[in-house]
Amino acid sequence: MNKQYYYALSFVNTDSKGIVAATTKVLFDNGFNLADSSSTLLQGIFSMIFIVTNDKDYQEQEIKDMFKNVRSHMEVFKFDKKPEIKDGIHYSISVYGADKAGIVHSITEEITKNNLNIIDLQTKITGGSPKVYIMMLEVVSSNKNNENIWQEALKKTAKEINTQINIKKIEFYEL
Amino acid sequence: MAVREVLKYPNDILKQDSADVTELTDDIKKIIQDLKDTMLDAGHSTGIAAPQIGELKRIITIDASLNKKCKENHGFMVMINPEIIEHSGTITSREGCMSVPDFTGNVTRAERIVVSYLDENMQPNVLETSGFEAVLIQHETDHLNGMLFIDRVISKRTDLFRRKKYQGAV
Repeated sequence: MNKQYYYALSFVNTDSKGIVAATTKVLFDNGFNLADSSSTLLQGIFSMIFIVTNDKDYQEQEIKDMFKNVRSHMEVFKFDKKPEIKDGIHYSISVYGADKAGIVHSITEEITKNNLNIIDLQTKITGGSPKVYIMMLEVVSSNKNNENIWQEALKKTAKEINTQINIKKIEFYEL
Repeated sequence: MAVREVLKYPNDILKQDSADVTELTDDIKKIIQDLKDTMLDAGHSTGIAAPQIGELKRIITIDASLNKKCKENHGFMVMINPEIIEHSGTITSREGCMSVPDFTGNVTRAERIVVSYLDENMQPNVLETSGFEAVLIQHETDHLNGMLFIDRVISKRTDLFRRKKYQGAV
């Protein structure tokens, strides 16, 4: 197998009708393989991230030029090799409370201090009054012996910003 | 005694219904033995269903004790024509499967089940179990109906995960 080059492509679009078909047509026509992707509607903005591979060594601008007829704001990031994913114990964390500035920053800063890796983060805000902010994360810990320490630290931080927090180890079953 | 190849999706056999076992023939005895051998040979597996070795018969073998974290279990069991006749509660866990080796997925299943089945001597039995062993039986029984855990994943975005590498049980 030829050497594969990895590219991350991000697209942001307010008019999403047909955008996935148009974008993936360009990828298909230019010989890209779709390795992973995540696309969702965020507050009416359709956002797509594709991790693609190709055996051709493109410059970032060359890839941008391929999409010049696709109406979308896009960015390209090139990787020389497949990025490594760190292994460890997975935990799901949910945080919620009355909406105010700084919830994501306070919680994620504490997560960083405790050497946990965030592998997924989603936030939602309810439409009622008062608005409630909800954040869901999945984090990976490489150290199984400090679970109580970081969980207590996170609970303390959540309490300081007047939010509720739930932390649950994700059980993995090989069946 | 034979360790058989474990079929992997997209092999079409994994998406087909299996037939009831009506008689303990030599062929059925051989399938049961092969399931035991294949499950144990895998090293990390806690259960296997006959379609995973290419046999469309309603037979599963399980051993929840192979999961070190499963404290309460009934050990190694052969279940022929298993049928879940009662269930209650819900439990969500991240499942991996030898037939879908590249992914794991969050699946919500019943927390407690009652299952009727025939043992390896075709004697009728009823078992009530919960937690990991209940999840295991539901996962393996799904194979008999052509269902894989990826059929039960609700959201690809939040529930389906690409494996870093195929790894053993925790």
